[in-house]
Amino acid sequence: MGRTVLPFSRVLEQEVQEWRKFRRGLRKEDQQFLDRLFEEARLHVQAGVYASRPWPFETILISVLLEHEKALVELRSQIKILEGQKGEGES
Amino acid sequence: MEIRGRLFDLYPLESSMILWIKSEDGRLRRFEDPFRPRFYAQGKKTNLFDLFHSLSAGRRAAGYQWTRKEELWSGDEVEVMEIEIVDSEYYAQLPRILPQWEERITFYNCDIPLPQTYLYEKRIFPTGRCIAEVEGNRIFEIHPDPSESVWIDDEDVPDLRVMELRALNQNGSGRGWRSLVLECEGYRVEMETIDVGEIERFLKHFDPDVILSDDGDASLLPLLFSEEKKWKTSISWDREPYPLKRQIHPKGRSYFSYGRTYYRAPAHLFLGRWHIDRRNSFIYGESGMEGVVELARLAKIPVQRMARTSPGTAITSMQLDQAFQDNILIPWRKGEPERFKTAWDLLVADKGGLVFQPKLGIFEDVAEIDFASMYPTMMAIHNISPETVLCGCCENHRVPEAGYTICEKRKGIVPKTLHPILTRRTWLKKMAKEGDPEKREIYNRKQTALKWMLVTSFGYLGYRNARFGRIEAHEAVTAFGRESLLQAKEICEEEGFELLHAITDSLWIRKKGFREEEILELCQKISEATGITMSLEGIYRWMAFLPSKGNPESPVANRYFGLFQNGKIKARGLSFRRGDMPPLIQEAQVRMIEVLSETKNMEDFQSKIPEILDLLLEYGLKLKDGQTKQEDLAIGKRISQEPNAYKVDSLTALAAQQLEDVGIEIHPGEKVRYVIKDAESKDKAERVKPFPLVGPDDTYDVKKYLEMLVKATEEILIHFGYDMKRLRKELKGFEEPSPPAAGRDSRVRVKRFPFFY
Repeated sequence: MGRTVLPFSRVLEQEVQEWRKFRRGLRKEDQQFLDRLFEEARLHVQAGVYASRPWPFETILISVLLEHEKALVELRSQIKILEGQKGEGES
Repeated sequence: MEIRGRLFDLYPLESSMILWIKSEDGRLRRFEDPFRPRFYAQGKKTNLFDLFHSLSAGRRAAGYQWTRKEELWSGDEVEVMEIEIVDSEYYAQLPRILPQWEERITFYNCDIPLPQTYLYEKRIFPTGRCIAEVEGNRIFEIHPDPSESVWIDDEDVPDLRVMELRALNQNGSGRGWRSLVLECEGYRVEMETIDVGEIERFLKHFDPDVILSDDGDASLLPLLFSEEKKWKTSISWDREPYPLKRQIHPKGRSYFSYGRTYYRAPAHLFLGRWHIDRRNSFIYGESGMEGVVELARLAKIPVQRMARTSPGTAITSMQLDQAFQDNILIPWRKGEPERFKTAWDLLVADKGGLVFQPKLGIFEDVAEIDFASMYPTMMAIHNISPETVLCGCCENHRVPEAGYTICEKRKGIVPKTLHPILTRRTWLKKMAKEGDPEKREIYNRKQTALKWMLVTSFGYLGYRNARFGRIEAHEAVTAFGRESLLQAKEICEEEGFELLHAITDSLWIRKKGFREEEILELCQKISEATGITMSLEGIYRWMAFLPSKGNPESPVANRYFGLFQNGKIKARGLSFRRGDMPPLIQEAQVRMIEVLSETKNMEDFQSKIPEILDLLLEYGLKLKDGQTKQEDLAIGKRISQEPNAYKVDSLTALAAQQLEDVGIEIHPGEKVRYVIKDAESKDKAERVKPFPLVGPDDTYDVKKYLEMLVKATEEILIHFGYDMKRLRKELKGFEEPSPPAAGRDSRVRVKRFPFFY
């Protein structure tokens, strides 16, 4: 449909390909975590599309950081709850 | 003498246009209207005279005159030479003759189908009421009945006599049939061997206006034509008395579109009679005869031709008509290439719609809201047209992101054409919901046909070869689209809604315990902010977003299913919606979904799981039993290349090759239907068997089909923890551990449900 620039979802796929060698150099148990990072970037593709930044890797990094931040916030609140329960148990 | 009637058919013949008009008393009459095609040339007068003299020396041109018309891109009035061509055949040759002059002269209006030009000029349309001044069979003047219009509801559509032509016992590949059937007015003739004389008698007796066929273009008519040759008898398919040479146009061809190959059978059109092949008409398939006629009227394209062309041709014709009425010259070659852009410009502008990946899972409290005809509405309200975007005369930065200018002085051809279509479609949709119950289906078909025209209007804007295309206009539309979607999202989020999923012009939002009024208010706010009507598609009792087939943790758009409050299911991407899935698997999944149609919420859904597992078992047994009919296991896939061009022997390729081997021709883009016999067989010839070669003794690959069944079940139950592994266990769990006894009589014994014996 008259597209010249690759859609961001395809750009992501290309980036994944470009990190192939790095992936190969990792231990098997570490490779799956690398894959998860790129999957996290996929969750925010539309923001990447809209922002159209010239360096796709920056967009990928910030998407991954975003997901990590979400996980951290979730974990912190879980810990608080658990500590609260533990505290109640002890007192 | 004055004749009043409806225009039934028209086609050019030498220097006339032949018209068939059905007068008010029901009689169909043939008339001739002298009609010489014209085209326009712009350039230095000396060159133009050279051109004219060359054409008239070759007896092609009859005359010329000077006239002033508007140039599309600039909007300026220019002086052009209007050249009259002697007849329709010479007009058709212009695209071959004129290129040698193109360095000195710019040409216009040289490749527009003549029936359309005639209709634009006279302002009449197929099936429309017109008034003609005639003498014998010659028309002196014709114009539309003043009370007639394509925009009103057509009350008294005339009765046309319809004859059906089809073959009985056609199987999936359309080859190998038992008898030919002719039906008209309740009478039916069935013939096992083709009797050309019988067909001619039938045709002459009933003299139908319309012949409706199934695969007439692809197989029936070519067959009958060759029979005519063989027996040296002709059948009077045409009503035209003049011995015109039959032109089979266009020839059949395979074409590639959006990553898929398709095959279009050659068109067999009749003169003075309509031949509509139901299987060779996109628009018929989508919106029935009513849709075909609706588009023929709006686009001013003869009905049988409209049946065979695309919605894109229809919208283009409406744009050409608009240009004609506005006295605008119609460019011959596509004139406006893309403006040079920096890499940054390109990055910013070259995007499509926004797609928010869905959150995976099953949810309650979900509503779906959709923009109505987003892109065409954007084109209409923001005046986006190839000649208005980046016009030379204005300076503003109306287009979001890219900042292109949109003309403030002229209304573009594309928005002008779209406005009334949008209005009519809104009205038709309303009538389809609220109008006379008997006519609701008809209104719905018409609005579907209009929908397709609107959808293609956007695509053509960006199409390199479109007459009225310009990539920056296309980019402008998507920019406004993204802006509108983001505005909608922001308004929803401000009101406390969560965005589950969004795709270009639809949003799925969720908030615990919302009321319907809240959603309607949201829609109102969004409509006001964006200028496009936002409407509530429905509120779901529950909604499930499915992961990608490759990765169960990865979300993907367009794979979901949900139950609306009104009891209707909406599903995308599931097995039962896929045309290549075997009917048995589709049926199994449909029944599973039907089990869910009475549920109130997610808890209810969960309680139905045992019933769904029962269905898995039921169909699993059907497959294992070996009792399933071959047709129910048919997989139908399109081939993308010639059968022998495949490098890898996929199941589909093998099936296609088997057909070729027995002399059944199959083209890229056509579907092959086959049964999987043994997918892993060392002997490739035993892996699949295509229809019609499948025999009653052919066995099938139970394991493979069971996998499909399990996958289909997984689609329904994945969010309750039932993946392929667990479902396979469920299937096995109902079997006796000992192997079944040899022979057909052994039944698989079931532990828990005695009624399955």
